[in-house]
Amino acid sequence: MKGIKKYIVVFFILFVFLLTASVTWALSLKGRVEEHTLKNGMKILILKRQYSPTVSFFMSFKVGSADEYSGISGTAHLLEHMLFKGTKMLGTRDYLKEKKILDEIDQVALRLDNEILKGKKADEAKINKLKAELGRLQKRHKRYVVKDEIDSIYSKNGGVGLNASTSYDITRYMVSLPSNRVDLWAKIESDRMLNPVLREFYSERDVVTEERRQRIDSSPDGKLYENFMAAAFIAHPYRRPIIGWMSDLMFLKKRTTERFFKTYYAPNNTVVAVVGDIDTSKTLEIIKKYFEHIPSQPIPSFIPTKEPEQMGERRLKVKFDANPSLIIGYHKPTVPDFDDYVFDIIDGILSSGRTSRFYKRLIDEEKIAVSVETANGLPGARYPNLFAIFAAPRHPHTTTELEQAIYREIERLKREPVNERELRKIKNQLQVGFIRALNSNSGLASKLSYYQTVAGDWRYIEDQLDVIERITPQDILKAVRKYLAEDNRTVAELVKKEKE
Amino acid sequence: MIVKRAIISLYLIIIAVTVCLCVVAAGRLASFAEDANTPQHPRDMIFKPLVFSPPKGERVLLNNGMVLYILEDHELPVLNLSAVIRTGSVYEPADKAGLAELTGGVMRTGGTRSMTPDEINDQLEYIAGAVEIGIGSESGSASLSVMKKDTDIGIKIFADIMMNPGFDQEKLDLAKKQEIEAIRRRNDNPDSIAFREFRRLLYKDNPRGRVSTVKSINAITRKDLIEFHNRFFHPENVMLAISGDFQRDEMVKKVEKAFQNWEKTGVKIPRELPPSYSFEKSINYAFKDVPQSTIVLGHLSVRKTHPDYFPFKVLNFILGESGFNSRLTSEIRSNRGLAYSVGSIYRGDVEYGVFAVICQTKSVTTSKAISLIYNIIKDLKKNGVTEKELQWAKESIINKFIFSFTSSASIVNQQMSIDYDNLPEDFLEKYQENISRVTFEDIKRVAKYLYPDSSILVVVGKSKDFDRPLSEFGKVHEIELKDE
Repeated sequence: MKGIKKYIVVFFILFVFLLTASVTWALSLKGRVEEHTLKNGMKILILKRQYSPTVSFFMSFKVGSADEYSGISGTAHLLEHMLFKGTKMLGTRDYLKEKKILDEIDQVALRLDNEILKGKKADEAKINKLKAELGRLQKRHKRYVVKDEIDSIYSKNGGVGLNASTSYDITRYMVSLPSNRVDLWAKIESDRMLNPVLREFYSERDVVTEERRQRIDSSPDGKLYENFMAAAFIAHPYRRPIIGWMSDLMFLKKRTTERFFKTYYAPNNTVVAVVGDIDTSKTLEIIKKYFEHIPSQPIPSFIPTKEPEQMGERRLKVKFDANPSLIIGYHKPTVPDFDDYVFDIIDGILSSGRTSRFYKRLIDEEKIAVSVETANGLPGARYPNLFAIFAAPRHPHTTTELEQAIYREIERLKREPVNERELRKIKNQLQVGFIRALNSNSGLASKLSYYQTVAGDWRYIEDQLDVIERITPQDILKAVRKYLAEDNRTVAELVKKEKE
Repeated sequence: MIVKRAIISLYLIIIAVTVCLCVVAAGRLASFAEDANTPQHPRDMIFKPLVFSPPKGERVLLNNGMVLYILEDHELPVLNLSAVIRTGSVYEPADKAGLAELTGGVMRTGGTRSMTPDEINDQLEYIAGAVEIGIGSESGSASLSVMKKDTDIGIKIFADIMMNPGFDQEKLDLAKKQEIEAIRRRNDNPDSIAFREFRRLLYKDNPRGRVSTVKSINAITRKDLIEFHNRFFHPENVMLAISGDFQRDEMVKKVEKAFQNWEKTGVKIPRELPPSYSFEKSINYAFKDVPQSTIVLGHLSVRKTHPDYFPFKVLNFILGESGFNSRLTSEIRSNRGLAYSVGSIYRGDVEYGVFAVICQTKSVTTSKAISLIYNIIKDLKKNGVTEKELQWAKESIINKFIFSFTSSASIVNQQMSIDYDNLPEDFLEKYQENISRVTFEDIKRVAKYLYPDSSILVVVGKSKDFDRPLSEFGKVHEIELKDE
C-alpha cells in the first residue's frame, strides 16, 4: 500500500486558476512536439528541451501480457528481459560459433523441462544427467559471451536509467544519455529490433522466477493484488499476472518467446519518443537512417475474450503472514469513454491529499484506517478496466468495519452532488500536475510514448484537461450511481495467517 | 486515465540563468558522430567530450543567520523551495524514540498559532500546492511547491509552519496511533525486517540504530514536541534552497520578511558521535513465512571526508553498484539466475560510511547465495580488479555525472547539502577529477576496507527450507520479531 508514503514524500503539485471553462494552455506541448511516421509505420515524437545537454529515449511497443494466451503467461515480460542479452553483433565474440552451442543448449533444456514436467513419474537419474549436460554446455557457451554488453556500452557512454517495463498493455525500453549520443542509441536499438539473440535464456528465466517470488509470493500486497485481479476478471486476460503464473513461467519455451517477438515487435507497432537538448532534424535523420529499412508487417488483430457483465459481488480471502488489508474494485469503461475522465475526478475527490474524503473521514476523523488509496484504470487501459480502492484498517478496527465505512462515503457520493469548490480543487490539481510534468526529459518522453501507444494520440495529455474541465457534479453523480454498485464489485481481503 | 507512479522527478528546465559561473549557451557542443566514419560496432563509437558548465545557485546569508541558495529558472511558472534543518532522531532521548519523526509529522498536520490544520490543508490543496516536513535520523527536511502566482501565500504558510507550529493535541494523538499501527505492521515485509535489523546491529548502541516501540511512542507528549522544535528550529540552524520563476532580489526580500521575527539563539548544534568502528562477525536470522530469503551483509565503511572515499566508491561500483556489469550481479543474477535483486551499496556520510550487500533468493539457494557473496568479496579483496574494469567504471561514473545538473532544483539542493555536510565548496566541481585520479593501486589498497570475515549477516526467511543450515557460516543468533 503506497498510502502512507504519499504524505511523506514530496510531490510537486501545482495549479493554474482558470476563469473560463475553455482552456488555452500557455505551456502547451502542441506545436512543440514534432511528429513523424517513417515509411514502415514507425511513429517518432521529438521534443527539444534545453536545460542540460542530455536526452531521454522511450521506445514503446503496443504489446503486453494481455496479448498472451493461456499457458504462456509471463512471455511478454520474459521477452523484455531477454532483449537486454544482446544481438548478433552485441554481446558475442563470434555469433556463428555461438549459435551452434545455443541450439544444443535449447535441445537439452527442452528435454530437461519435459522430464521435470512429468512430475512424480519423472526419472531422477535422467534429470540429473540432463542438468549436468546443460551445465557443461552453458560453460562452453560462456566463452563466446560478452557479458551484458548493451548495458556496458550505455554505461560507459554516461547512460542512466537504462531499463524497461512490461504491463498488460505495452512494453517499453528507456535510457537517458548525454545529448551528443543519439547515434549510439539508434545503432544499438535498431539492432535490438532486428537481430536480437535470446542468449542465456534459461538462467534469465530463473531470474524472473526470483522476481516473481520477490514481487508477489513474498509480498502481502503483491499476493493480494494477484488474487484480486484473478477474481475481478473471470475471462479477460487482465486476470493473469503480468509476470506469469509460476507453473507457466518456470517452463516458458524459448521458441514461444521468439515467436512472440517476431509477431509484435514490428516498426508499425512502435512509438519512439525523444526529449532533450538535441537538434530535432538531425535526430530524425539519424533515426531514419537506422530504422527506416526495417520492414513493416501485419500485426495480428488479437481480440481477447471479452469480460462478461458481473452478476453479483465477488469476495475472496488471502491468508498471509502479514496484517490485514483490503482491495475493492469496480468494473468501468476505459478511454475514450467520457466516464473514464469522470473517474479521474472521483479518484481525486476520494483520495488526493489530506482534504480528500477518504483521508479526512477514515483516517482523520473516524480513525479506522491507517491508509486509503484509490486508482482509476487498473490493471490497464487498452480494455475496460477497474476503479480500485486499497485500504488497511487500524487495529483494533477490522477490515469489515473499514469496508462499511468506505461504502458509507460512496453512498454519500451517490446522494449529494459534489460542491463546486471541491470539484474546482481537483481540476486545479490535475492541471497543475500537467504543468509539473513538463519539467523532466524522461518523464515527458515516458508520457508521450505511453499515450501515443495506449490512447492512440499523445495529445491525450492535454485534451484530457479540456474534457475534465467540462465535468459537472451531475456527471459524477451519474457515474457513481452507474458503476460503484454492489453487484459490480470484487472485494479481496488479506487475513493474518497464524504462526505455525 | 492517469498513470500513477510514485516517481519523484527533480528535473526542471532553465532557459535564462542570471547566476552562473560560466556562460551556458556558449559552452555547448552537441557533436554528432560523423556519418562517413561511423564505426562498425557500438563499442567502438567515440564521442567528443561534452563541454557543459552547469548553472550554479548563489549563496546568500540573511540577516537572521539563515543561509539561502537561490537560482532563477523561468521555464515554468513555479516555485520550488526546500530546506534542510540540523536536527534528527539521533538527538532524541532513548526512551522517546520516534519523537523526531513525530515532531516533523505534526509540524505539518497540527496547524500553527494562527491557522487550524484544516485551514492549512484547504488553502494549500485548493491551489494544488504542497508543504511537507520530515525529520530523519541525521537531518530534517521541509519543502514547498506552488505556482508562481501563489508565491506569497505559499511562503507565508511555509514560514508559519517552520516558526510557529501549533502541535494540535488531537493531531498528535492521531500521529501516535498511526505510528503504533506502523510498528504493528513493520514485520509484514521480509525486506523491511532485514534492513531494520541490519541497521540495529550495525549501529549497536549508537542512537542511529534506535527503533521506536509502542512504549516509546506512548511516552511522548505535546510538551516534548514543543521542546524538540524549540531546540532545533532557528534561522541559523536552517538552510533554504530556492529555484523557480522569480527575480532574485525580490525573492530574497520575501524570504527575509517572512522569517524576520524568527529569533537567533546562537546555539550551535553539535554533531552526534559517529558509531564506533568495531568489526565482529555475526550471523543473524529471523523467521518469515515466505518462499524467498532476504540477505543483507555488511559493515561500517569509509566516511565521505576520507581521502579514500573516491577509490572506495569506484571499487564498490565494480563490486555491486553498477548494475548488470557489477561482479555480484553478473555472477549471482546473470550467470546463475539465483536472484533478481542483488548488488551492493556504499554510502559515505560525513563521519562514517556504510557498506552492504543485498540479495533476495529462493529458500533452497540461500546458503549457496551467501557463499557466493563471501567468495566474490574475498576474491576482489585478494586479487583486486582488472585494468579494463577500472577504466570502464571511471568512464561510466564520469560520463553520467552531467545528470546531476538536469534541474535548477537539484542544483541548489546539492549545493545546500554540500554546505550542510561541511564539504569543500568545490566538491562537485572536483568530483569528476577525483574519480579520474583513482588508480589501479588505489583500488588494491582500499580493498582493505572490505571485511567479509568480520561482517554482519542478516537473513530473513524460512530456514527449514534452506539448502544448508546457516550455522555453517558461524554461530547463529536468532532474532525474535515483536510487533511492539
